[in-house]
Amino acid sequence: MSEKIDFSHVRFLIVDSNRLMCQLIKDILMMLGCTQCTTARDSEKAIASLRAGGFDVLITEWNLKPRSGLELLDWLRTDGGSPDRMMPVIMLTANSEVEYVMESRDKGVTEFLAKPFTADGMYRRLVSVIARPRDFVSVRGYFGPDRRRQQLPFEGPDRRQQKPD
Amino acid sequence: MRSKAQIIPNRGELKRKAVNYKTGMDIKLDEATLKKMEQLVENSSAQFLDETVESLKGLREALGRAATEPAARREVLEHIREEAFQIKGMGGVFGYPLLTEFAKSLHDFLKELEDLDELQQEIVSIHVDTLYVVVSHRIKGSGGALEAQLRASLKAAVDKAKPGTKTAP
Repeated sequence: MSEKIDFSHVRFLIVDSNRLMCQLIKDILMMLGCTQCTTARDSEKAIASLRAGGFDVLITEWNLKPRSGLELLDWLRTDGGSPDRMMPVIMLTANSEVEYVMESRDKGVTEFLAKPFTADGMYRRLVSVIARPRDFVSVRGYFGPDRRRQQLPFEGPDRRQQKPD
Repeated sequence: MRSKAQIIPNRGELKRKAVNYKTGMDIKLDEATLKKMEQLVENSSAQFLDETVESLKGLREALGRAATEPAARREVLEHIREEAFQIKGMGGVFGYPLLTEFAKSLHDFLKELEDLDELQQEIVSIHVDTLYVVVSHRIKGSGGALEAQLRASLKAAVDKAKPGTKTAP
C-alpha cells in the first residue's frame, strides 16, 4: 500500500497578480481534490486573508504589490501578527534566477518553483511541503525551515540540539 | 560569540491531516493524473494567447505614448517591465517557450533602465514585434529555422544598445 495525499484536507492561499495564473493554479489544485482554495491578487489582500486564518499552505509569486512576495514571506515568518510562522510557503515566481532562489531560501521559503513550471514540478513541490515536513530553525537573522536538505553522516556532537537559554 | 540555533520540530499537523493510505492522490504522480493536469493547462492555452495579444497591443500603445510624451516614459517603462515579466512566466507554462525566452530578453533589457530613450524604445518595439510573430504563428517549439531567425534578429537589436556599441553612420 502506498502513501496518498488527500488534498481535500489542505487549505491553500494562492497569491499572484495575474488572474489567469491564479485560476490555473486553483484549477490544478481542485483537480487534485482540493476543496478550499482562495486567491488574492495583491499582498495586502493576502495578509488580510492570512490574518483571518484558515490556511495550511501559501503559494505566492514574488512580483507583488504593494509588498513583494518576499516581504510577504518575511511577514509570515517574523511578524508578531503572523497567524502561523511555520506555514509552508511555495514561492512560484518568474524571478527564476539563482539569486532569487537564494534570497527566498534565506527568508525561510519552504519550496521554490520557477515559472514557467511544469505540472510535474508543481506536484513534487506540493508533495514536499505536505508529506515531507521539515523542522524549523530559529537563529539570529533567520527563522524558517532547516535549509540543509542532505542527510550526511557527521561525527561529533550535534549542536543543533541545544535548547535556548 | 555565535548565537545558538534553536531547532523547532515540525508539528507534522498538515501531514497527519492529509497523508494516509486510503484516499487521495498517490504521492508518486501517476501518468493519468499528470495527463489531466497537462490537459487543464492546455485548456487555458487559447485564453493565454488572447490575453497575450491584448498585452502586446497595450505595449504598442504604450510605446506610442512614450514617443510623444516624454514625461510618461517612466510609467511606460514600468508597464512594459510588468507585462514582460508576466509573459516570461506564462509562455513556457502554456507550451510557448519562445515567448518566455523573448519576454525574458525584454525584461532583462529593461531591468536596469530608468528611462526609455529613442533607441531603447526601438529595441522594445522589436521585442514586441517578435513576440507577435510567435503568437500569430502559434510557434510552440524553440529550435526551428524561423525561431533561429527571430532569435538572431532580437540579439542583434539588443546588441545595438549595449554600451560601447557604435551604430553605422
